[in-house]
Amino acid sequence: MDWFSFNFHDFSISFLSILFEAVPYLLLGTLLSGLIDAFLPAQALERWLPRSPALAIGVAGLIGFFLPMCECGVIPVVRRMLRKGLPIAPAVTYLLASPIINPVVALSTYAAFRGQDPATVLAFRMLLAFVIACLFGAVVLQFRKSEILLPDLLAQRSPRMGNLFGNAPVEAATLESLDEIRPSLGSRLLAALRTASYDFLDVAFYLVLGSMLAAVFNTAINREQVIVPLASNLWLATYSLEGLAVLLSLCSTSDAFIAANFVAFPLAAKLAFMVLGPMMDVKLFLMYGLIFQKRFTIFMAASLFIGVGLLCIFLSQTLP
Amino acid sequence: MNPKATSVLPPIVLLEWGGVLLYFHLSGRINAFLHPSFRLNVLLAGIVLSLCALTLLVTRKQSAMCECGPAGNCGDRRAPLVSSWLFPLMLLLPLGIAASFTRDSFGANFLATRGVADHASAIPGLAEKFKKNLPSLAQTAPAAQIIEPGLPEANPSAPTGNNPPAVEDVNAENFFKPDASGNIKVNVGDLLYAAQEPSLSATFVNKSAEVVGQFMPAKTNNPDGSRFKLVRLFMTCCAADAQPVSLLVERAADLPIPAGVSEMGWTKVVGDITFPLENGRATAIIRARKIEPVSPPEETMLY
Repeated sequence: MDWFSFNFHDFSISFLSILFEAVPYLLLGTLLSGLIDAFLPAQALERWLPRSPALAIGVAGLIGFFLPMCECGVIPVVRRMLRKGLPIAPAVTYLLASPIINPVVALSTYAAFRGQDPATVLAFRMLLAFVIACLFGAVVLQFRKSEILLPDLLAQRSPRMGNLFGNAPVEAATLESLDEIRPSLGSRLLAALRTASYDFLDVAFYLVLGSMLAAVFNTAINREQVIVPLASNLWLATYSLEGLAVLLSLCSTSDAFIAANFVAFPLAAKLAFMVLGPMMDVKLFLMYGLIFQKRFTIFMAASLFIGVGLLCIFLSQTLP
Repeated sequence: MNPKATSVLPPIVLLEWGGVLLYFHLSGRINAFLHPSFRLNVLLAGIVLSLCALTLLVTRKQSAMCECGPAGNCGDRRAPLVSSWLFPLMLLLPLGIAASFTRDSFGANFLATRGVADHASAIPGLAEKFKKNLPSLAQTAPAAQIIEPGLPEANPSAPTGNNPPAVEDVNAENFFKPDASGNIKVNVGDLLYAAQEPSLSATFVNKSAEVVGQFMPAKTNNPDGSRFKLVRLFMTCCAADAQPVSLLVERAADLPIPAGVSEMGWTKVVGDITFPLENGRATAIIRARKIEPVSPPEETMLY
């Protein structure tokens, strides 16, 4: 048996099932994104976040509990929030944390690891996700906005929140006058639906690409030949499961069920799979191209890949 | 692309996506792709996407006159992708082609790449299902853990955390009653689980059973060529995570495989349940008395 064997029918079942599972969550995210665009005033975000950058990052890491999104759905929401002027560091923190630190994922993780000390797995997954997201949020503070965001997104950003984190003061007379114009509820809902539709199409493009890659991996790669040599070494197991998470591009609401399958792998490797996957995978790497500069996305992918693995291995070696 | 195409294509794409989701849900074909807990989402998404498409279509002319301010309140912000030739290529073709030509079950190639497990612990949540059927197990048996099928077992004969402990007072007979022809209807997973659990295997052994699965030739553990496998795939969330498991079937020399039975074809086997020790562990094997092709069950990938 070759390590690679492609079959169109197997590919299409896998591709469609990934799409069918992900599209409703993606749609939910884009609808929320449309509603945020139409109804959330730019000032609201400024009011909700603490002034201190560290506190703002910490709060952003926990917002997912109140605004639960999967990793596909959160991208249009964050892009919309960035357009509205949300500071980049908390936005990135929310982007990374919310697909894991939310009640839906907590429930699915606990259910998936039933019989495998689910409380410990759940606690470590949440803790690691929070730490990684906040650390990366802090790293983002060291970058200039122009090094992170795409030029068109940067140009569309509301300057209302520019006074946060030492940036330029507000010069938003035009926006203030625009905010005073209050469209009717019906036209706002219509605008929300139109925005959601276009956001959906933008993100669906990358979802299709990612799902195709994941389907090829799911159906054409011989698992025995690829996986067996990797499971016995802690470092190799951890980084190989991270690689698998990147390739499979699973939804955070269901990836724990897959991770629970890897009984032969150490806990560190399974945690790395469940923490890195919702933060960075093939599909997300492409989707992040809607928000971030390519160089920043590559930096983000590399640092998350290395950082999550190191932290999981460190955690597993310090535990009794 | 010209402006007319860029204004017409988005609603067409949304209509296609909404239509595909609605078709798969309403036709029941979604059963082969998603676990029941995700199926309603598909129906709702199909309806919302169709509504989005209609909204874009109806307001197409209105949006052409809309001058979006910095706040973007008219909602008519179009990404550069929409005007690119990549847009219809990626959003119309892959979904359209896959939805048009897909079958509702995996083929033999999938089993070869994924690996077929012959152990009940490969089926997520199997122990939980047994707990429902066999209340006496609920007090003692742990949840089944799952092995990566491609991984070799360190010591198959040694008891591991994957094996449920011995359970007393198992009353499986109350839950697997014979039908009019004297056969108990069992699932591939039932027998794989029973092989791990001595009390259950004692209940099942030598009973006449009817099992349905997909036919696969046995390429290993088949010294005289009289064996084949009944395979079932069990999904956790969607077909992409489906795990194949197999049950060995042994037929007598005078019992041929019917002409209608093909590789991965749905097959019914009637025979006696046995649990011989093979390679150091109890293995569920059906000694077949009858083999016949059957239609696929309504739920092909659920336990």
